[in-house]
Amino acid sequence: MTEATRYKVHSSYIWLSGIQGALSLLFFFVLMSFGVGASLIAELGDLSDGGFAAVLVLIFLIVTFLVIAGLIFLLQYFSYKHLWYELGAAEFSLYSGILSKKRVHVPYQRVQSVNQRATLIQRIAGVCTVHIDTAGGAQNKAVVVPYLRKTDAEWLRTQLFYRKQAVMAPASPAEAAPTAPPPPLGEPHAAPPPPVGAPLLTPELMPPAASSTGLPVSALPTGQPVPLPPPPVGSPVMAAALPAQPSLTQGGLPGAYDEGNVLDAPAAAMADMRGVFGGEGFDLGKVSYSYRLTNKELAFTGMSNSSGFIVIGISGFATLFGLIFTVLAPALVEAILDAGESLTLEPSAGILMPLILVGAISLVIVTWVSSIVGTCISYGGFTARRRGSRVEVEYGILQHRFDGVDIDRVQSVIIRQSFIRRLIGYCEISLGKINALTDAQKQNQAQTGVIQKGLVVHPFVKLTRVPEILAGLVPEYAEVPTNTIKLPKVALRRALLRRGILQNGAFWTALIVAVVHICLSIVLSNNAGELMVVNLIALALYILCLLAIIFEAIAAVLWHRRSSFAYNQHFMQISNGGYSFESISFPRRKIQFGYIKTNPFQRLSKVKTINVTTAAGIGGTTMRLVDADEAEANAWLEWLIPRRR
Amino acid sequence: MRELPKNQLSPKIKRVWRLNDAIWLTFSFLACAFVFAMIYASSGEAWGLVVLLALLAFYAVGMIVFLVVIPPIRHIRWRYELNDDFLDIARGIVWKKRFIIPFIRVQNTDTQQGPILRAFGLASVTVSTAAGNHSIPGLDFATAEQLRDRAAELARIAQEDV
Repeated sequence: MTEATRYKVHSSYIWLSGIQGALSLLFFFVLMSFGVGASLIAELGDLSDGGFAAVLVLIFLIVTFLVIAGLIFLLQYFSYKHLWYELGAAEFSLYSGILSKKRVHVPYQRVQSVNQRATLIQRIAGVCTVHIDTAGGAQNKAVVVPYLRKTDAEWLRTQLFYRKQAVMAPASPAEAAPTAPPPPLGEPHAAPPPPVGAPLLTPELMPPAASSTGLPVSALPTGQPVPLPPPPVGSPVMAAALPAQPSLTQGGLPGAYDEGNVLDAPAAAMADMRGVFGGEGFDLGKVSYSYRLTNKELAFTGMSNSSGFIVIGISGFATLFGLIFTVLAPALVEAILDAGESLTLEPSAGILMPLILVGAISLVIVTWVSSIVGTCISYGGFTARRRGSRVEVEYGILQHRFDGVDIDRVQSVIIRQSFIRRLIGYCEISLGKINALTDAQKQNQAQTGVIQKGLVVHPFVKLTRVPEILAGLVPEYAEVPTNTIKLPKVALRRALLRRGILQNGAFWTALIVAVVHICLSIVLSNNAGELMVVNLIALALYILCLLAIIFEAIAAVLWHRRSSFAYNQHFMQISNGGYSFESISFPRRKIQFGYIKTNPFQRLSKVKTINVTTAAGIGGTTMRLVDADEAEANAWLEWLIPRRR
Repeated sequence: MRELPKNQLSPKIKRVWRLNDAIWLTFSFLACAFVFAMIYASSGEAWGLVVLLALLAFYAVGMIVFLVVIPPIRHIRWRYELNDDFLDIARGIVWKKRFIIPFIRVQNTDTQQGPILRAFGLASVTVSTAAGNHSIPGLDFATAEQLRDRAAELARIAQEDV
């Protein structure tokens, strides 16, 4: 076997990350020198004596800084020297490490999705970080290739997907030797955009074997039909992708929602700016469907997704009340002490109070607005598109994210409505996929317990537009079941009992309050005044608990009304309602296993809990529907059994 | 409702469960008892003795429940069946569960034998999917091998990708 070509990452790996390291180091040193200078001046009293010492210290600090920064750059240089990737016959390999060598091999068929991330600095330089997500059993791991030129990243992504397709197709002769000639790095390898109606494949997108004739890639005549590697058995993907539609660049996209928003222009400008080292554009294939966010959708996304504002608001009001009390309390005490003379507050407090109030409120508003604007900018230029067999989502003006997932790797389609979205008839659409974590993310997850959500393909869309988007983006999910099976009546009774009483903290709190109340009443039976206070407090608590119980009871009724499951030959759907609503649709062939579970009370009420597990997320996701009718659940379990071909 | 799966675990598994539970019960009892015994020995306070006696009572009840009551019921309820293209498992005493695991989703199957299982000539078979494992404990060794081979063979036609 011939030695595979080594591809280096871009040289900005050395100085860009070096500069980032040096900058944070500089920050630290500046802080330190301030501290040292201050303490020196304090120590020596006057500057005439301290001047010389301060200069000495400063010089020492600068030299240390330079040495450490130099070391950082040197380290980056050596790790750059030892960092490369290879596209082998059957696997992608990433080599890294100066002293302890690290090699990561990813067989092409294990590639789940290839995503790009770029920070602002990286965007200016025209480089990005590529994450290759794999599905390695329970230990999903993301391979990170840092500092790739944009063009190389796009090329790598296409290569990975096509090599995967070649490997996955068992009968294809293409799999024999998928050795595409590498694009000469530093040379533009862009293909001219194909004419309208040209075959689906551009030269870059043809199966790797087709180019093993020795012809340079760009030398193939454009539009010449090249054999497509047969799709994986049973895959509806290619059939759906084949009807060629005019490409996006030609305009007039059928079915596309071309209404943009205000942030599209700057996002497009940022996207057009390929950065200093970005390289030429790279044609990636036909787009059959794409959409953006409208102004309204973007604004609402900003408002509903900037969850931080709740925290900010609460903390703002907390400080406000704190301030009021600290300012008011002395004034009040004084006022009470001076009772009779004057009941008015101190004039100073009288002026201060509104000022503080206005200041705090405006601070809260400003933070909220800026958080909205921040979310809008991070979602700016949101574009979701269907390109061949892949679904691609990209967004972010400053920090750019690009996620691409093959339709075959999509585990489920999730439609989510938070309470507010539900009130105005909007929802969020996301695709469930197998997630992978980088090592850093793994630690992060262990610390915070944050679980990655699926791939959001539309953050805020009117419910009525959902079918249109799904038909364009994932036409494979066109035949999701509609014959929803509702929950039986007994489920409502059980839900009321469960959520209103058994699992309801408010109910148990009320019970404890009642016990304490009775005890106190007995103890305080001869003190009418205190008894009165106790009774009032208890009454307030009872009312609060009652409200909470009513809240949960309404949730139970809503849950019963909106929850259902459905299945047909190829798909299954589970919906769970309540104040918010979530509906998950997934193909039958993505079901890893399913089970029904009952407890004694459920057996008494003739209901069962349906559980179905797909591989989405990390280590699988289990969708659950509590209290489905027994007969229906049994029928569903029968449906789960593989059918004979 | 489908009939319950046909096959049961080897009856010897009851002894394995008993031994297992006896070991961890004893260990946790000893660990807790040691602490309170030390307290009692050092301070001589009466409540230490009370706690020790309560622990002993807990231990006795636990031993009876886990060694006498539960194993036969668990054995009766634990059923599995290897169909042509799926694995059917029914188990659970209070929370009854019924699993259907299609073989085309199975990624690998393997047999395991801990020291206790080996002492009784038993093995457990684990079937892994992309989203979790299922194991059938306590089959006699020949059956386990057979089951593993069969599951592996059926899983071989599985779609490679998830």
